[in-house]
Amino acid sequence: MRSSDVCHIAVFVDQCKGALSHLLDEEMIQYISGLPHVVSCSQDEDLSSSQRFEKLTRRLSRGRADRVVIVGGSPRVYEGSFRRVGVTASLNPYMFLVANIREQVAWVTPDAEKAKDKAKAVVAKTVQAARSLTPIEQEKFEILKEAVVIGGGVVGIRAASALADANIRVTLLTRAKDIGGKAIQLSHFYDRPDEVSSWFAKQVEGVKKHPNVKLETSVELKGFEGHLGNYRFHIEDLLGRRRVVKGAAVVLATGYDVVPNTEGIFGHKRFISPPQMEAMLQDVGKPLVDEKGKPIQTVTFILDLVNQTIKIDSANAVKNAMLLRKDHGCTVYVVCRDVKVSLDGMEKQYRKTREMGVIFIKYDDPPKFSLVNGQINLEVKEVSTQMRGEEYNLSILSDLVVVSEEFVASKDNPLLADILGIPLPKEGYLMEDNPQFTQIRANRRGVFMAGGCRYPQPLEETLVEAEAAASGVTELLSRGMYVYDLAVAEIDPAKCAACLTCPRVCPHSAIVVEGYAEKNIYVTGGYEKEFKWRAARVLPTQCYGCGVCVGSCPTKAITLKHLTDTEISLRLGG
Amino acid sequence: MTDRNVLIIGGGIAGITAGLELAEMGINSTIVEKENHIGGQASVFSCKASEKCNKCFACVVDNQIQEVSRRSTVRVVAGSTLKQLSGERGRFKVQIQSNGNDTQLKASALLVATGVDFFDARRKPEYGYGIFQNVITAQDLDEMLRSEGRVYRPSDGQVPSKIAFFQCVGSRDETIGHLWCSKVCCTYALRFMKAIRHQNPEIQTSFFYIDIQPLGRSFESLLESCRQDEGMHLIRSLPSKVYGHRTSTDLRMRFIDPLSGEIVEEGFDLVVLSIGMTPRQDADRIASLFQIPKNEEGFYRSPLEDSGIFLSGACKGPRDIPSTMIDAKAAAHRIVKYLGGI
Repeated sequence: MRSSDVCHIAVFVDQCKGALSHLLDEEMIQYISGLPHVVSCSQDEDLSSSQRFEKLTRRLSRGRADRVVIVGGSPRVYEGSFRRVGVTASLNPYMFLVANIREQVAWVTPDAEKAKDKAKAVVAKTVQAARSLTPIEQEKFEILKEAVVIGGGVVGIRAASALADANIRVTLLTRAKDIGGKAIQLSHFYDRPDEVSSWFAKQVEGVKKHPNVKLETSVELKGFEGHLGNYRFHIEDLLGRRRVVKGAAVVLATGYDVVPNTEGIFGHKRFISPPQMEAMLQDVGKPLVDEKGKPIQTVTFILDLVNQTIKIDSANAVKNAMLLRKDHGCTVYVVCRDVKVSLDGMEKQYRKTREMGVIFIKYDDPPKFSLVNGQINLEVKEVSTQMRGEEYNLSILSDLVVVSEEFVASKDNPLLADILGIPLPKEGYLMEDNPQFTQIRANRRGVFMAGGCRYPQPLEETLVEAEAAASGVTELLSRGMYVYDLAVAEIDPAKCAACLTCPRVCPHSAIVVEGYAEKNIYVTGGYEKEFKWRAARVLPTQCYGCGVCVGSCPTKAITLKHLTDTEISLRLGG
Repeated sequence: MTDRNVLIIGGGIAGITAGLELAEMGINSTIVEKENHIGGQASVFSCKASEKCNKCFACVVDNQIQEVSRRSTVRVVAGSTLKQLSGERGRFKVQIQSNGNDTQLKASALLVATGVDFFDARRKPEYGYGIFQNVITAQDLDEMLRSEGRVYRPSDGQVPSKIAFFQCVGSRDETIGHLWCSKVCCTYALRFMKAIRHQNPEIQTSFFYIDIQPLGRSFESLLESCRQDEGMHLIRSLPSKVYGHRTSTDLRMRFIDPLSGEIVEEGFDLVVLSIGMTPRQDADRIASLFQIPKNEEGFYRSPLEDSGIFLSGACKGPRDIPSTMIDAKAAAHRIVKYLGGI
């Protein structure tokens, strides 16, 4: 049966709280009622509220309509509610169109007569297009109650334990010999007197002992297949043995890389990196001495030569400056472009540090360094001293200069993105989906990300991300079943030229080219039935129905099930 | 585990997101909102796109509000105030008052997402807010852009040719005891400048700041593009005072020019104050009602996890929309764990 063979259209007119009353007079209603296939036309004051929609459901279940056209405002106002109404009124949720006469007519056409004519045309064409609608079915599949976390740093540990605590079995994969990562290098927290090491040991122990967590150390991810709810991860251990780990979803917590600054004078032994500084402060009682045993008196932190828009170095410098001042009586300078105080409690810390005698110097032009009698001399133009006429108005001699390491995207991200089939932008950090789904979700279903692989952030913020990613996974797994509409793209293999355009443009890795087709565009006749030709195929579990492939297919072999070309041309009046 | 119900206090972006997240995990929630509508402070923001999206997240808020209205498992009780908390951990009873009627709601866990107030710019009279018509706050500007789609001078409706943005109004300020950074205002103002300059490249903008505070991943490219724009002047100096004029609506202000080190005076058509975030006026009342500890700044600190009371969003300290949403998701997950997992 073709969809237009039987066609009963119920039209609901939304007055949009009176905003459309000048268009929707008695004549218009009669016009709509008289359109072909329209079986009913009812008016409502405001259809955007959910109670009104319930009334609409009741009316629909009684009537004989098999499709619905709403005349009113933007489709976005009605779509979500209608999908639910459709289900209860045993009407397919996709048998529904909206004639938007608010944005498309009322708001843009001031002339009353013209507006009415235009509104009529919009409604008539929408009603006509409604005839081309076909029902879209749902599919569902089971979701395992297992998840995988990749990365054994502090973020991976937090994500894994959060999932495990919510009764989800987790496999934590790390290529390192043991879990730990960069956070282990920190000596203290910036916002509380506790030592990081004891806190961190507790976290590590917690995740290791958790009955729901399985640790896989010293393994590399080699392959990834399957779909949301049942992904298979191929891992390889040091001896080259391969195993398969299953998971319904995955949290990527693979972190970032650091590039130490050792070029030119920065290679001198009096320049140290922030982790080296942290290590020196790990032992509170130990005096600070240089390699000759002479006490270290002046320490300078030089910030913002790299990582200008990352808060980590600044937070650690403030914290360590205070420790150096308080526990070791050092003279401390922090030389930076901007003091980054946009962390909870940091402004107070910064002030306290200044009150204790730590000197903050801000620059616009990077400072110059030289060696003077074995010490490091730094010359800088201080922006707030307002002195004129001198090129360098401050010079500081220090025993130690802490110079930041540059934070960069992990060099393994391209490989990881390739294995997982997720796009990688040019800065190299893993890319989130549309920001509306917030930053923790990749644009492949069931792939989440947190922490430094997305962007380096201070510990506190990154841990929140880990929990949010865990929340995303828990959400998916809590249903046990994944139900989705087949509102996806569909490829007619007979028209496919296997040109590989669509798999390249697909942002969701949802198209594969496989030998499955009876024929493709090259086959003109006389082919063997047993032979399967190569053609592109959409994996409906992965497809978001965005339509990018439809627009780029040179042979027009692809259709979007929920927005066909026929419907579009009917609506445009073609 | 059939009667797991979470009471969310505050229907801003934090409360809404947490409610939606809980709904996805099969947990019912009730959002109690003081105002007559949900959405909170973030719901009045305007889109700040220039030639491309500047990731201000204003559209996301509208989306989330709509999503809530479609869910039956997220109940909204708007126009209500909290009266009393009784019951014990896991079986809370909360007395609320709406339209003069008292009702009691039961909850297995509580999520406090009461957010923040914006700083009242009148408390810095030297900037002339409420005195000069053409001194407005960033929130006023947002509303202007949201409702009218363009920037103009309130005094005469004309397009300004020079706009000054003052940062840290009500933040990082010892004179009013606000020793915290509101985190979002630098990015917020820079996005405004991008959007305004995109709409009208004739308008010159100046940005007066102490330190530029980065915010998230997209900040680097935003800042870089601002630095390269010749019509955007980033000036590391905070003006001391805004001077009006007896006969005209023009504004003059005095600040130290960081390049020359001299005190200069410059005229502007419109001054936008980037007002910071402060703890809610009724923060103390809610804190004592639920026994939530506070930090030195007056924002909330998380109570112990087994208390059954959770926090989310800017009530813990200033936050932008995306980090509030992430925080809300994390809070929802903690609640799920507390209620026994899935």
